[in-house]
Amino acid sequence: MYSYSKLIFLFFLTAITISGFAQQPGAKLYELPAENGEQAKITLLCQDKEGYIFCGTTNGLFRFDGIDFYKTEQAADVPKEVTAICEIPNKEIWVGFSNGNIASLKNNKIQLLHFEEGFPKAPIKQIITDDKNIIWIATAGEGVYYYVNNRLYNINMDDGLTDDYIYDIHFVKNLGIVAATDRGINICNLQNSKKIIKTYSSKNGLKDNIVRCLYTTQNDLWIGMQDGGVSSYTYNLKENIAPPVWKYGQVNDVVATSQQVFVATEDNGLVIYDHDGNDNLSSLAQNNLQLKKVSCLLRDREGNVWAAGNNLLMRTSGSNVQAIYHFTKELSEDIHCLLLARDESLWFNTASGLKQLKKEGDVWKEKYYPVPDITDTEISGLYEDINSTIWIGTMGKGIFLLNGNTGKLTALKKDSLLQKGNILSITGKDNTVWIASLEGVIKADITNNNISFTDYTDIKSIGSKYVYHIFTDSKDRVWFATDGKGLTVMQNNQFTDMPRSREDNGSVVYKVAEDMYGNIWYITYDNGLIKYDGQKFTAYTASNGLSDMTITGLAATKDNVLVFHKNSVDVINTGNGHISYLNAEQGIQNINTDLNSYAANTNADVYFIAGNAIFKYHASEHVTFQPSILIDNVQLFLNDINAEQGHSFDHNENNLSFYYTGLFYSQPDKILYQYKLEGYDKDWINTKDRIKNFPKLSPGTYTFRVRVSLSNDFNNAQEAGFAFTIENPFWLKPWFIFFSFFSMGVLLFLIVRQREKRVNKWNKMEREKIQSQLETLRNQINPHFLFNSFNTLVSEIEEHPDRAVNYVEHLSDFYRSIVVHREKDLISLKEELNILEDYFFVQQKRYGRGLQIDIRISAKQALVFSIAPLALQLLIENAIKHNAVSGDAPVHIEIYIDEENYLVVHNNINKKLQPEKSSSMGLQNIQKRYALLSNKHVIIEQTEQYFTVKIPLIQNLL
Amino acid sequence: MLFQKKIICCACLLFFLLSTGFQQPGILYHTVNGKISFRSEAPLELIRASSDQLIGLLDINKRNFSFKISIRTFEGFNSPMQKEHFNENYLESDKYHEASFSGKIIEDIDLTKEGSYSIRAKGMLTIHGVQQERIIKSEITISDNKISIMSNFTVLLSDHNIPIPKVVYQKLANEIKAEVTATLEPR
Repeated sequence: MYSYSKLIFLFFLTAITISGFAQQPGAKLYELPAENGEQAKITLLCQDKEGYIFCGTTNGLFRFDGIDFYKTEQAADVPKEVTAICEIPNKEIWVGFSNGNIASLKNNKIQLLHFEEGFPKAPIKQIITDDKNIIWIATAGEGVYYYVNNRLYNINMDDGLTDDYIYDIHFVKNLGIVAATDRGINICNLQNSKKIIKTYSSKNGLKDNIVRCLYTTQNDLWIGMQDGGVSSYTYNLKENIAPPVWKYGQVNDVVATSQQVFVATEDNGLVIYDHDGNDNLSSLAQNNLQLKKVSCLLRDREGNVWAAGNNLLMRTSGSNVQAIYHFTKELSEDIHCLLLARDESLWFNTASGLKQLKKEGDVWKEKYYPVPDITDTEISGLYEDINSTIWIGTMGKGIFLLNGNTGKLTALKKDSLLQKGNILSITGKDNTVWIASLEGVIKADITNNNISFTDYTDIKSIGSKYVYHIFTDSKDRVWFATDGKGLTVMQNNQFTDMPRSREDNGSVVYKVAEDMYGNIWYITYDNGLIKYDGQKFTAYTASNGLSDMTITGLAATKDNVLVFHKNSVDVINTGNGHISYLNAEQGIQNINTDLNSYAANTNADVYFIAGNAIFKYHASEHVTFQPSILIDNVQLFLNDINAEQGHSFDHNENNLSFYYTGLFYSQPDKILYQYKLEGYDKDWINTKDRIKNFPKLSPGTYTFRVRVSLSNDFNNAQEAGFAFTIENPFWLKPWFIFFSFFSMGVLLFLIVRQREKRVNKWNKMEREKIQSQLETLRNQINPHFLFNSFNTLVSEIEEHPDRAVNYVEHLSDFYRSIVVHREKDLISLKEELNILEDYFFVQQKRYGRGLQIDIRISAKQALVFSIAPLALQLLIENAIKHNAVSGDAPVHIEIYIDEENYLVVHNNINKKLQPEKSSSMGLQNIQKRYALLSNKHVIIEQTEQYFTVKIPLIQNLL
Repeated sequence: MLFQKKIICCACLLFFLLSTGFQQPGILYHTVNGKISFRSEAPLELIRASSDQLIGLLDINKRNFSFKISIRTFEGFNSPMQKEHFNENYLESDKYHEASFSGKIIEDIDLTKEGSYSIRAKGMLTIHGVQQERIIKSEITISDNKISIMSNFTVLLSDHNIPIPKVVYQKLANEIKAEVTATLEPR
């Protein structure tokens, strides 16, 4: 039924040996800047736990952030030539120097350490720590030192080392400290402070006794030798991978990945080997560029391998991406499809046929299979079926089958589609082959040597005659990527239209793939990349980190999905969503955009064509690392401060600057930052700057947060933070506010109380005054006084009528004075004396010589002092009242002012036979009034003969 | 006394020769009156003592050396009682008569050339019968065919199993500072 028409074909086989010197793609060179005309040389590389790459140079230690070098500050006595760096578990970094000194890097400054034993005097070649946190120091000339419990100990030839010149040391678990010397390898162990040294040298089979460098991978110890190249040993020192014939001279350093060995040579640049893990080294690549002398290597945590020599630092993609095969520009333009066969050989089309690349030993063996009557645009798809037959799809010429072993080419001629069809892709699984074309879909089933075909060109089943790609997933569902109908899926021969796949997500689907979690991924003409997890469709766009919305290809391997663009391959880790990129930084440009120009295997390798080379992306080597971020420095008013987290700043220390660095050495230009000052900013702010200044921060609690990403998608981004407080000024601190309120309260209370006291006093005084007035009035209206006065008046009228008028005038003056002054608190002493004069005149008329008064007060004094109104009058009245007044025994009253400004009223006592009834109101009243008026008291002195009252006078203020 | 010293000296030399395995003896320098002093700065009490009977030998060709001191010769304690404790309780000098340090100079310097050098001596320090490997930094001056040595170092009592009773914990620091000065002359 199906007859194979035998074609007359030309079988033309060429086997060409290609020299393996392929250039490392995307090698990027960085030049260490000269300082004061002094060009430092890089002697070693090291990456610390925070991710910084340190370059030890002949002129100090430099930090490298992927773009620039920063010299580390060092104390004056620290030497310049760095020869070793090691991160000690307590977060400090030890730096060894060529003169044997050892310093520590702490708070961005290098300072010499102090050992009681003194520093070694030979160059420090390497510093490492072991699993017991013992620090081991290799020297070039004094053997190995180890530092434990603050003491330095030495192991040298006296202890059994084969040589005191140590090039390198490494700690290997379950083996010990391995030291590379001029006389083989020494393995040192400490047992109860006894040194146990084992030697492994040429006697044991070492190719070269001068071992210059060591490198440890999970299972292997790699050694680099002076002339013997590189070989690997298992940890029980069985040679694992023997070195090939070595012609590259002195080995300075070695780094190994699971696929490759990178060798730093003194004169031949960076030499790169492939090794397949346990057998022989295979191919060889050498990178000569400008780096002829490579002193040191570093494999960073992203998988990049760095090489440095003289003042140059070179980044290579390590084993992540390799350009495995180069072709001419003309050939690369003809290539439309790439196939990875099960025997790991690569197939691609040329203008007139197929080429097969197969690796044999170090070299790619090339085989050419011409396909007759084919032009350069016609081969569009390749597929290897279960019998290892290569299916060749063409545009307009149907399908050919090629037997790779015999080179026999057969055309499929079952029907017109297979004969003349425009094939877009050929895919399949197990015995089934799916052919997608512009004219519809055909399924081919292979049973032994027979192939049966099923036609799916009926538009009803798949929905479109234009099918770009057919994909059979792990659950044996067949997905059709159609032009116009989106995705269609066939399960158990039942077709399901998936309208939802096109509603929002585009009706033109180019390619379908499945990740290891069973998600279906597909790319569309205008809606980018879609993930279908069986429930919902999720679109990935530029905001999720896709570098470009023009997607040309899709491949899935293990947990990575590779999205191809013209100039970037975006690698999405489907497990954690991280996206990394392969682009010009890795030397990947002008990626072949043809639908079938890339191939993946189950080993997590993806092959694709970019520029003039076939690249191999090795997913398992590629550590999908998020960029890390750290805050390098915090400045206050642009001055460095060594502030710890949670630092408290004064209220006027409010101008802060933060320096931060995102580290992602593979794509330093793609690094984006978002920062947010918690307590100040509401939202995250995007920036490319690496410094942020906040002037004039008000008091409060803040956290400066900054995160880093390679795209605008900052979900799961690494973040660094600095929490700090700006203290309130003291007048805004709670204790001060409390204290202020409290003292204000106390003050208010005191004022109120004072006022209350004054009011009370005033009230009291008022009361006393009234009392005094009442007393005086009562006395003066005392009928006795009036009666006596009138009696006197009568006698005066009779005897001296002229004087009577005078008498009445004094009497009335006296009464007027009482009325005028009674309301006042104080009157002048002069006024009081006037009142007294009137009163005395009235009384003298009555008592005549029996009443004598002697006032010794000057006119000036009378004006200077004040007195409570009627106080003096009251005292005189008392004196008259309580004494017997007669011409024989006169009452003599003296009034004067003593030196303490008391008004003294002093009189002799002539006791009455019948003492006057007294209420004592008068004196008491004066005393009380003065208690209110003055802080001096009224003094009353009484002897047998004299009665004295002293009234404190109040000095007039003016 | 002098006789005793000579015996010790001879024994010492014999030991030294034996330890170097009857190799061709180099040019030997020696001293019998090196000075060694130590001090313990404990919170409560400063203890110090010294001896000038340090015996030392140095082979200037091979850079090998051996020094030893008889514990009983330490004098200058605060009190006779302290000395007794020192000898009987701590260093048990009846049992361990001597302390010694012997080994080799790390630096490859020419000890016949006059001058001042800073060197590090790597060797076994034996105190209280316990050996500890140590590197001891020393300043040496070579002039007039004499080699003077000056060295400061610390000794941890715990390194040499010297017990400190709790009662005197405040009186005895774990770290003892020692100072050695000696002038070696050709034998």
